[in-house]
Amino acid sequence: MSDKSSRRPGEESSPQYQNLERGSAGSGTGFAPDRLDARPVKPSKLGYNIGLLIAGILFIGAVSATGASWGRLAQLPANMVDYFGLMARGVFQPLTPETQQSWLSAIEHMLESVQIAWVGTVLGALFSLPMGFLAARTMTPLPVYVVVRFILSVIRAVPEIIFAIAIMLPIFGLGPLAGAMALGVSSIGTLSKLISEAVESVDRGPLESARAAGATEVQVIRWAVLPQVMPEVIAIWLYRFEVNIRASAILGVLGAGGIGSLLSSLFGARAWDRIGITILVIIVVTIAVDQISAWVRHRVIHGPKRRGSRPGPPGADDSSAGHDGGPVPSTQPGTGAGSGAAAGAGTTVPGASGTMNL
Amino acid sequence: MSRAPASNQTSASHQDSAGEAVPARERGDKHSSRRPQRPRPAGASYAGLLLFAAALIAFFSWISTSNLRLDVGVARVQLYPAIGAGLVLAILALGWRLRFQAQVVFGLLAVLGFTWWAGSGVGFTLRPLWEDFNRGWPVIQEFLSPNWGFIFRVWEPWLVTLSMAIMATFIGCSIGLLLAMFASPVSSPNTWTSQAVKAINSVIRSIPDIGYGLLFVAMLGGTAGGAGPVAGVLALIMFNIGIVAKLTGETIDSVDRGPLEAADATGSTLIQRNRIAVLPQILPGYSSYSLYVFELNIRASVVLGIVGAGGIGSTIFVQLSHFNYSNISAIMIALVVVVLIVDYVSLSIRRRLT
Repeated sequence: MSDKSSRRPGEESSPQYQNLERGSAGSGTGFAPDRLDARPVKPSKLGYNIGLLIAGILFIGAVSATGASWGRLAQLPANMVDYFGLMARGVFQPLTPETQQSWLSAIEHMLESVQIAWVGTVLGALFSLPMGFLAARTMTPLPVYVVVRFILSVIRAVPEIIFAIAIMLPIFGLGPLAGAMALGVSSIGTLSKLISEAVESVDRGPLESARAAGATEVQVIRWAVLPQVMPEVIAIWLYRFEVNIRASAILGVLGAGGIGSLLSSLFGARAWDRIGITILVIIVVTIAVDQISAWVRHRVIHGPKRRGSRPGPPGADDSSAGHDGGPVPSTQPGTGAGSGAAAGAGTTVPGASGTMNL
Repeated sequence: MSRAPASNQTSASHQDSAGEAVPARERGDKHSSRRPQRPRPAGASYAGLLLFAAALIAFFSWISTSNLRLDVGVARVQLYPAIGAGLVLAILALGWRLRFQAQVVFGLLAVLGFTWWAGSGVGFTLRPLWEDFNRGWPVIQEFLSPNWGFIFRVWEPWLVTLSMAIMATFIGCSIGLLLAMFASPVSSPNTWTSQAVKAINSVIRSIPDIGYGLLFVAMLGGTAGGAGPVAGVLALIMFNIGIVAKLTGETIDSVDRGPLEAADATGSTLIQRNRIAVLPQILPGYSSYSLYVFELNIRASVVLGIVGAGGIGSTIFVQLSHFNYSNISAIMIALVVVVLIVDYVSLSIRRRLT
């Protein structure tokens, strides 16, 4: 990509241009094709090709380095058909008291996951607002900024399962509370980073006028900054809630309650009919939560006036949210990493449509 | 720091003056030099809010399982619902005092109700922090003294983890790009395809990576059969497809329409149009999503290892079942270092791309 810009039209070294110039010098009068009449030179593809080559080598190296038995892939399609058949039979079997029980337990565990995620999000949100202000360069003196930023980046670098295994499970014991605590702590990192960037990019006008009117720092924050960032902050919190629902499944496998615990015990027993039911419940609840949160986000950012006129599917909605949420787009990828493994699991990154220059 | 109390005072006095301003307004003194006030929210909407608040309080006492009671002279009420009711009334009063719109207060109450429900569902309490801290302390202590020698003994699973991440990134991002092209109304053949592929995408995205991990491990056999990494790569691929299709799809939705029109005007086919007019526009974004996904994959493969999908996660799981916390601590320090390195490398590549 950089090659395109590296060769400028005025460069003398290009052979085509030299030919043209020689020609025009010989003909003397009349129409003399100059540089501007020449066809643009095709940019070199060397860098691109080298990139492809490296990628290919990396890929082949990776395939051989895993040392896995790739032959197993051959039996995958047959297995898939079998097991998906079993799962579908589980979903479509008639409702007996027993199957009703499995539906209920799936829904119950999924709701527990939602609860874990919500408590984690609320905990993270409570801490993230002050931390976000402390981590905004425009709001705090340099020493505070450096210290807070460092703490935040450490929190972001540690995946949430580490918080869970190392700190929360020993203290809070096996159960949903440990999961919620781990999610809460790991949420602080990402949320504060995103909020601080929202704070840094507010319009300076209201701040100046508040200061001119003699406002103290707290009043400036209350009257000039908060009204500007609040919609974005709420959007960020909601996004993190979506991420946390997926992350709570991981913690469940470690014994922190929720849908993950149910899934891993079902897979342990290879109860494929109940697995089918559980996965269906996961899909439905997750999509429902995503839709609700997209609606709330849209409502918060665009206000109530345009409530009735949502154009099209939530995808478009989210992307527009991203445009409005100015600073958010540029932040996600670097920080999102902090959201931990699965975390990103394809939830809406606020402002995914933006460019990602960090 | 020394400024904080002073500013609190000023904000308090400021509040008082706001309170005094109300009577002046009520006297109909429109031309007074006092600063303008927000209009009072409609009383009717607040009456509706009172109904909602009553419902919330009833809900609190319904879900309460604790037997703690509070004596309030006339009767003994349940402690936790009483606290909840107090919070509800406080929000209502604050909303009225600060002249919030009824919708905002409704949102606050709804958040409070949802939080209350979730908190009671997970049995929220901070008591273990001081009561059971001693139980957790030995484990934390072991984590604080990592077994450094272990870091370099496990380079082989690390190699597997990295390879899994690389493979999954390549395959998942390619498929994700294809799906994104089909999902966006800008680049897909027709609306029907776009809607269908969008629905498929959101289903793929809604299953957490651990779910895919369990699924593929159950279908192919786990680490024991040597198929762990195969299952892990497949799970990561599904996980990546979800993210990349979503992010890239949104980028495609917002491309500049000029080149598209130009391509259409010159009579290009759909594939030519997407190749010439769409792809170059989304390439910077797409590359940085791919790098982002690669970072996610390294973290995710740790998790997948725990359910038997090979890589460093399997090692962590083995150590966890032997309660070798100092070994896990060493692996996790290495994990954080690797994640930071990958973060840094992909950050610098991304900077060059955009």
